[in-house]
Amino acid sequence: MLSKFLAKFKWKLLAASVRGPGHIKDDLPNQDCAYVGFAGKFLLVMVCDGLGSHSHSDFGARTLCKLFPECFLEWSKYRPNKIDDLLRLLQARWLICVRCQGVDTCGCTCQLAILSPKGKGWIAQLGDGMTLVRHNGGINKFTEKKSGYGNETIAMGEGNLLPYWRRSKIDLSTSGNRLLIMTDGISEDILPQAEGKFVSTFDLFFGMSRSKGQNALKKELTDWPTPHHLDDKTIVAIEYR
Amino acid sequence: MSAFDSVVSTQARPLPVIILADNSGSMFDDGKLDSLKHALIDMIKSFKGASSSSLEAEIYVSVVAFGNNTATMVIEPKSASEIADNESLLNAINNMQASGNTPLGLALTKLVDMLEHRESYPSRAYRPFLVLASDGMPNDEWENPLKQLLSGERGKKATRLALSIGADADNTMLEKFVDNKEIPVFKANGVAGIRKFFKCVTMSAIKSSQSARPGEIAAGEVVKILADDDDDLFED
Repeated sequence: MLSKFLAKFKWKLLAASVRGPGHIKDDLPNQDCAYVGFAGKFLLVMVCDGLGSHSHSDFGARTLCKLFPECFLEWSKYRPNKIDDLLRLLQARWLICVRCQGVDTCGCTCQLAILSPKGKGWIAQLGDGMTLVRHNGGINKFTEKKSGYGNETIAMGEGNLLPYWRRSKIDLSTSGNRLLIMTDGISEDILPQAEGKFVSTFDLFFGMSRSKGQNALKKELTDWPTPHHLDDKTIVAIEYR
Repeated sequence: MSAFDSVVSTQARPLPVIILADNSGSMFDDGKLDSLKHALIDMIKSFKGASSSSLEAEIYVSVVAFGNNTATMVIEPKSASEIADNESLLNAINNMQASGNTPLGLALTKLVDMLEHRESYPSRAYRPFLVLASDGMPNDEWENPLKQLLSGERGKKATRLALSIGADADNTMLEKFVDNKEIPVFKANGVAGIRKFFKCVTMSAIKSSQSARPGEIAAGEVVKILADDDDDLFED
């Protein structure tokens, strides 16, 4: 079903998620979660990364991904609609759903994209990870500015989170434009100034059939070249044909 | 060969351990500095053993000595494995000499500068361990540099441990450095105490490096590690 919609609306998709060696060793689940789907004609992408310090963060990440399409549908019924209202709605629904496990045990970061059939839309981010947009040959990078250390970030939880969300309009409406959304298990290891080259590396995977490309990407994430890498790794790559 | 070889870092995310070692003149007495040097070398060798598996974070060590009106970088930040395999780096520790006063303020200023050095301690680094070992009263202005360390985004988030050596150490200052009611200042009255403290530092850092969340260790665990002292950790 997803493949049909992707073909109909001229999108190419690659997505992969692997459990980090640190979590495999400690018998912990993959705390990342990704969602890709259609709500009407709109392509929705969400990538969430559960906080390692929160015992039910995998549940928190899964819950948020599950809530995304229904919250989007509800939000998009009304005009005019404002992206901040969707972010508030997501948080409110998420809080209701994770309360049973304890909100402070379910924290997760969130990155999302909403794309119209013409390739225009929004991205929003809460916490770490990175979104890269290749638009007409240029690269736009969206990520959290860190002053501390690798394992620290803002995440879903109680309180007013709106000031912490970063949002931007994006335009993928030209053929070859590309969107990559990844968790910090990947983004923290990408060399500075190498983001454009990283995006171009996906030519290789997009050049294969979808199943082969997905498998090759998953293998690359499993055999990640950074020594002593421990974290889960999840990435969704979208290209407008 | 990976498709990402040229775009992804081939350097592990560092788990930094930074030692501020007092080498003022009084550290010569009763073999205190010699004991400290041996303990540091044992610690680095133990880190090397722990980092041999790819399933642990890689521990990076640096050592700053303070005495005789200067704070000197004895070991620049490097992986413990690299230091342990390099005789001249180990000799740099062995060559530390006890002399002069206790310029803690200079050492803390250097530490603050080090933590802000993004090439050595990038934002992808895990939360560091900062360790202060001293046997005396600071002779310079140290309060402001300490305030800067504890109020800075990077210094305040580090796990800070302190060793008070002998009866003349300034325990109040060391407590202010640790700034955590759950972690006491460890007290060593002789060489055995110095060795024991660094065993605790070693085990805490290794435990943290083996966690799925390197750099994060509860204060209670550090204290428990000291209480459960394991005599077999260091080879004699």
